Amino acid sequence: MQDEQQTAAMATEAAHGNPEAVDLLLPRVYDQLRAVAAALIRNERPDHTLQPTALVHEAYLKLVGRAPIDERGRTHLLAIAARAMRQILVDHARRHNAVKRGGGRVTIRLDEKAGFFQGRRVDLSHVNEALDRLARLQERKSQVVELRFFGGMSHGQIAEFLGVSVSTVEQDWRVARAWLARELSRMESR
Amino acid sequence: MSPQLFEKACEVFQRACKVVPGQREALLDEACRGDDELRAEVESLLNWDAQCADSAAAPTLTAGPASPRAAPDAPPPEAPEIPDYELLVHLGSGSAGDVWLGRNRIDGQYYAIKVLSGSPSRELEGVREYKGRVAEHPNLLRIEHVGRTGDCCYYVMPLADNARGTAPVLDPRQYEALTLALHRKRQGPLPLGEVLALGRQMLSALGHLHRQGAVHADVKPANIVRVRGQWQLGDHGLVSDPLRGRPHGFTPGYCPPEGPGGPEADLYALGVVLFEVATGCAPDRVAELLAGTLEIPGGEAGGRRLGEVIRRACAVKPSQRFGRATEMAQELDAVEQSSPDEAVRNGQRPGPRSWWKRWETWAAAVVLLIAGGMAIILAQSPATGPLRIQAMQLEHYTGKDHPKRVGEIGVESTETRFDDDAVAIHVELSEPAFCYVIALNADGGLQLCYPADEHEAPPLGNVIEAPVGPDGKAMLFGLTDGVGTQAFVVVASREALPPYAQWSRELGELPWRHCETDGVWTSDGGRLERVGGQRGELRPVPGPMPFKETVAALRDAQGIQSVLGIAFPVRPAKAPSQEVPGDPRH
Repeated sequence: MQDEQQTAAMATEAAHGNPEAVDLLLPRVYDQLRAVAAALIRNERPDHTLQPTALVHEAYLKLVGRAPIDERGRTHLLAIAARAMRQILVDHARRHNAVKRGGGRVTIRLDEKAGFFQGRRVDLSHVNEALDRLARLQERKSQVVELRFFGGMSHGQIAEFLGVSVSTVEQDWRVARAWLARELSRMESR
Repeated sequence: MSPQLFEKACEVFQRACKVVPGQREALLDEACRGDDELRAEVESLLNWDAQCADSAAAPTLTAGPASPRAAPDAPPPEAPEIPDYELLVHLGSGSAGDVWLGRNRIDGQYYAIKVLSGSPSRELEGVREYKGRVAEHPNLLRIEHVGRTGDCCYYVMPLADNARGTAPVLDPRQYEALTLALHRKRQGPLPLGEVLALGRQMLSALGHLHRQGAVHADVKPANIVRVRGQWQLGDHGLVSDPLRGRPHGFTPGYCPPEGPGGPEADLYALGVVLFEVATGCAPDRVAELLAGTLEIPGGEAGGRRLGEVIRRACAVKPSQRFGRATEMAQELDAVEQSSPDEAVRNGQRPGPRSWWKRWETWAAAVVLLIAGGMAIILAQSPATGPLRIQAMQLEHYTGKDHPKRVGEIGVESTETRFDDDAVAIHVELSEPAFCYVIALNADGGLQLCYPADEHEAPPLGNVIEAPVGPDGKAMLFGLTDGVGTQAFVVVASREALPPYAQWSRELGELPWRHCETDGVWTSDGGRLERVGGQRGELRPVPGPMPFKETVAALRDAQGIQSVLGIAFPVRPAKAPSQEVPGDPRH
């Protein structure tokens, strides 16, 4: 309970723009989340399609528990958890592929509300590679996709987290969606 | 590609998105000016954007609990073998598994079947909690059956109404489940009257759950489906007992700041849902309502007061929110009572096919002409009090061996044929109540259509399909009782009614007799209106007066609070050799 309260307090600090709190929070969240996510992933069937948003929400709940946390803190923590979850899943895929000697494939289901990616199962390594490439072209667009796909966050929450307007997030999402759809399609057909 | 070129491509892409496709060519000519790589990149992005947009415009299909249908080109999962069910169409993939449209091999009916994947213990826990604790409620989606086959678990639910029409599911590939999310997307902000009605129904469902020690924990528009004209709360995978710990999931945007929890968290989520459907805004903009920078449409008396209810439901501090569903329901009632005219005026916006369901008025039976099509619908008379017959719909079928739907009587059909044709009756009441559906046959006889047995008291319900067979299954009413005027009357009461045999004996003889008429007529006992004239037109002569007198006699019966009848002509069968009985029925 003390850990939960400390985490919640840090998240609130981070949400109010304290950079030290972010630095302290990220490894803490990452470690805790990894432990929770690893337990969750272990319980899944090996060939099961992982759902990052479901995982991150469950892990988030276990992490924060009933500790009091305000809306800004919650958005911030969810965003950090989303970023950490992407890394955890990529690590998981690497181990999985190593065990399978390259024969296995870890797929994730994109938890979109509607649209092109809705319910789509994609290769996690393809998503990861595409997001890395998008980040090299324009980091913010890659972040928008990451927060949607791995955190299930709304445009309003993403805008608050990134400190931009909702219309900027909407514009970023539209171009990133088209770019990503094309790149994933190319990678699938390779 | 360099970041600079990508940035330029994004800029041109965004400008191109703002013009109509016909003007894009000129814009690209001007913006790219000989830079082939830039132009190719922008054109490629626009092409993929169009494909994404097409997918976004495609129905977000859900069945029972809402789960998005996979993108059209995503490979559907392999259909597992489920005992007694044939899985026909993959409707979508949700948080815990895949939802299928399936047909029961024994009763031939369609159902939504959720097949759980991975380790389904969490979802099953919610379903078990729900089934074990919660008695049936008209606004909670029923779970028909839970089962296990091989290594997967599944559960079966009623199929949501088809958003592509009211007809039964004839081609499963054309099925699209009607969720509140889809309804809102199609209709835009909903009229105040409809928002209030939805709020009351969901509060009735949540109050029922909470009284039985459970919370839903995932109230959102995608989880509210229409089944037989009734909004029902579905997806019970997160249902839990708040005393045993926090729910194991939530949906961002509908979850209170402190995280998921007890009944007040469900009421918070419902507040967000009402905000969303009343304004058409995304759920996260509820913060603007709380801050006072956004108002609910509907005027001072209606919209402003609804805004106050939502503000309290969604207050940041849990102590300031509604603690119980009944408290919030009382506040919604007060909104309606303070502005009945306004709610009514906002509730009657016409729309295709479903417009009549929103028609609520203090006037008696009304006849409307809209958009080239006529429909009958009714409302309440001042004498009927708060119980209203919100809709009465007669579906006309033809063909004795293989009945085919002709259309709704008064909308697509104005007369029927003796012996060849049949009718299905659909009734919606404003709240769960008791009712009879009585056929006034063309030969002057009377017949009970609902409930099935005249020696049994009618059950509580607010959506009624009639007639029903002894097994409770909806059937067609064959028009085999003479030519002349045929009518059906719904008689409803909030108080429990005795078996029809007893009630009709006490009522005595009714003035119903064989009569002839043209056109389709409605009556609530006070007025007799012909369907098919201009709005408000009143042509009482030569209406079927025995029909009006009979409805009036039923209206005046003791304990009856709402009555509505529809009459229409039955013509002789097409076959010239066929003799038609004109005498009263045996």
